[in-house]
Amino acid sequence: MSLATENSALLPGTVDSAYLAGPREFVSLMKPRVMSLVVLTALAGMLIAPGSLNPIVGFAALTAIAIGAGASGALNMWWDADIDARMARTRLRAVPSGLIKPKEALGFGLTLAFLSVLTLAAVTNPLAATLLAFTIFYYVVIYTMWLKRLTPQNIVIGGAAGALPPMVGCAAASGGLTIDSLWLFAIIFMWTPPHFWALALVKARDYERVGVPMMPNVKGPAHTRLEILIYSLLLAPLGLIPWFTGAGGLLYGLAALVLGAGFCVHAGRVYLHRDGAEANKRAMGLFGYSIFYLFALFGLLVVERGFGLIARWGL
Amino acid sequence: MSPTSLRPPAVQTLTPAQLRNRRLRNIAIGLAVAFLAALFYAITIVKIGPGILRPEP
Repeated sequence: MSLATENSALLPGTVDSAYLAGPREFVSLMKPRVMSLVVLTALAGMLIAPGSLNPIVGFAALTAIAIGAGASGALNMWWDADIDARMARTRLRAVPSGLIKPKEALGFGLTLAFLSVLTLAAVTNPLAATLLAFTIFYYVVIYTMWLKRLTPQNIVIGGAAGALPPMVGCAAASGGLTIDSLWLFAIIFMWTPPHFWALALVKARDYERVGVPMMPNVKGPAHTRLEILIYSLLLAPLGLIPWFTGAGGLLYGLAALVLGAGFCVHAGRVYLHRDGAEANKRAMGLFGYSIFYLFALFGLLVVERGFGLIARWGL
Repeated sequence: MSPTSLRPPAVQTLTPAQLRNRRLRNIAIGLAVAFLAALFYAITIVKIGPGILRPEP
């Protein structure tokens, strides 16, 4: 029997659902998959920063950044519980399914937000902590509360929140920001629209039903496919820039070239296949590939930098 | 004082699933606090330096 089923079968005289959620539900509130991407991109930002960072301090900083990302996820789920409950993709999340009360999610998110910012301030520097606080604020207030239900450009502008972790990592490691960290920001910023719009093409009805103005249900699927293609064509060369600036080595450069070309091919397929099951298949293909793209690109940067391949082998 | 306030609070019964989840939550919070304590201890040693552990000559 699932927890949700048990919840609905509570006997009179038993306590309410506040006691039902276990650690697993609270972890799910933090969007662990998004957290893993944030940790990877923040680590890349740390490793391209000038100077060196004590590994223990680096680990503590990464933990704080991960908790900050988790706080953003929890606060997002608290605010969006009403629309999550009506969308097939999200209706089983902990808050809409009744496993966690909205107030609990709010308290959990706020606690994590304060804890993460204060920890980052204590272990690194005020700039990194301020940037992390701004990231959480931007994601929760600017994107979730304001833009998401207001404009089809929601994830374009809101994408800045997801793009900030490399800059937070860079600031944590060096106390300042570098041009290279800005390039990493730009890559994630440009990656976000085709990533989300690929999913939105398939889930357009869900978004339309709950009144979220995603690009496909405002400007139409054809326009969305064109925008996906344009963003992808801009993203592919952008991914090469860390190679040109020396932040990434030869391995990174070659991978960025191949992965960027693959991104454009997937976007091209989405542009060409517009009807039926094939269209959905191509859109979900791009969505899955885009996740692989970002993990691979930043993963290679981490491997090259982390293992010192550039300095050691001249790569 | 009204008679209702003198009444003992109603006994609330937890289901086995609720008891299990409460125990797991307590363990998780305990582990998180222990992890943070260890992390801050390690950070303190790193920031102050290993010299703090050496006795005065």
